[in-house]
Amino acid sequence: MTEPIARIEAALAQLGDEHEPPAGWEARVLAATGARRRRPWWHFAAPGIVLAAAAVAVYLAIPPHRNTALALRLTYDKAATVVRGDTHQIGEVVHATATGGDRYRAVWIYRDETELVAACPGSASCRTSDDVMVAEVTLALVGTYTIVALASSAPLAPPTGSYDADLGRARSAGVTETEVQLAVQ
Amino acid sequence: MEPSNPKPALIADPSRAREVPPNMGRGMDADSDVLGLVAKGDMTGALQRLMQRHGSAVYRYCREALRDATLADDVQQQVFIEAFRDLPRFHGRSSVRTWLFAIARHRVLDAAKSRRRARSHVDADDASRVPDPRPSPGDWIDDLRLRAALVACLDELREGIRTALLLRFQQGFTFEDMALMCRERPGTLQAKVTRALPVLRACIEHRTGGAL
Repeated sequence: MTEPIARIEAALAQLGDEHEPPAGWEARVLAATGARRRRPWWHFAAPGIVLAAAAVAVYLAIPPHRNTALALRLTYDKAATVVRGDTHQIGEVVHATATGGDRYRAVWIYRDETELVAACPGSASCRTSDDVMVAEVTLALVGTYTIVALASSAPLAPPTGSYDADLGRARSAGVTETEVQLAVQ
Repeated sequence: MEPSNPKPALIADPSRAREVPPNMGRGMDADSDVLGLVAKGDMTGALQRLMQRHGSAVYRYCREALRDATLADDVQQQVFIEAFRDLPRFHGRSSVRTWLFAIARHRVLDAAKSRRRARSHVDADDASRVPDPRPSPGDWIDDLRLRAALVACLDELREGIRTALLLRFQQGFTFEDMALMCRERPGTLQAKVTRALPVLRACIEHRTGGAL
């Protein structure tokens, strides 16, 4: 016969063997813990990813500003009388076209470096678009015309009329510039 | 005093060996995969694994300790909800199973205390509704009557002793594991359990009028 205490221990070991937890208990525990369930990492990252994607889309949709070198090109409507060489004649119309450079551009035209003949933007004969600025001036007087194209990342201060003063101020502001001189007889 | 079996019958019986994890609180934790899921942040997976592996044992423990199926169901769910909450803070000072049953033990004692406060006496339950196990005087008590008397006699023990007996013999914990759960010395727990067994024997024999 088995030891009495050993029988009790064996009976204790078998206590409750016939019992199983009620059906659905696991689902109830999961439901109770559902509110505190840890969210996957991407749940928190998703808004950032969406914002980043939107930023990339906007960047790609906007054409980048072409930061090519500043260039100045001159074309002329010649006067009736033909002259030789590089000398220009009174009555010619000059079209000064500035392209490239930085976001802000200007074309200033001086006669003998002391008289501002035309300034673009600002003059009635000035035409501008995103990439091109055209200043138009009639060479009405004898003298040396200096045509200056300028470009800068910041708005340019308007010229005052003196080539030296205007260019000195522009250079100290860090603009880029290119110029052409025309002699008119 | 009868010498107590140092090994629980649960372990001695090979047919029940499946219920005893191979590494209870020693070396590699049998629930290390659960901890792996926790480390990966898969708390729901860890909880499901715990429930699948230990749900029935926790329920049986709660049910026999409380002798109330509905209350046992509630307590069992509380145990796993609490385990889910605290798993990220599990430090591995014991096995996961020992830790889980420590939670179960606390919740069982809390539930028993609340029940005691809620009513002045414990309602008659399964134990007292079973047929009178009393055989003719002097008869050897068969297993069925032994079991019925055992349930009734367990009810007469203090809750702390009852839960200790269940942890030791129903769940197969070592006294060292139990010491972690109960925050008592293993020797103290062993002494309590050893003293309780003859008390149980006397109660069973008294109730049945037979000899074990």
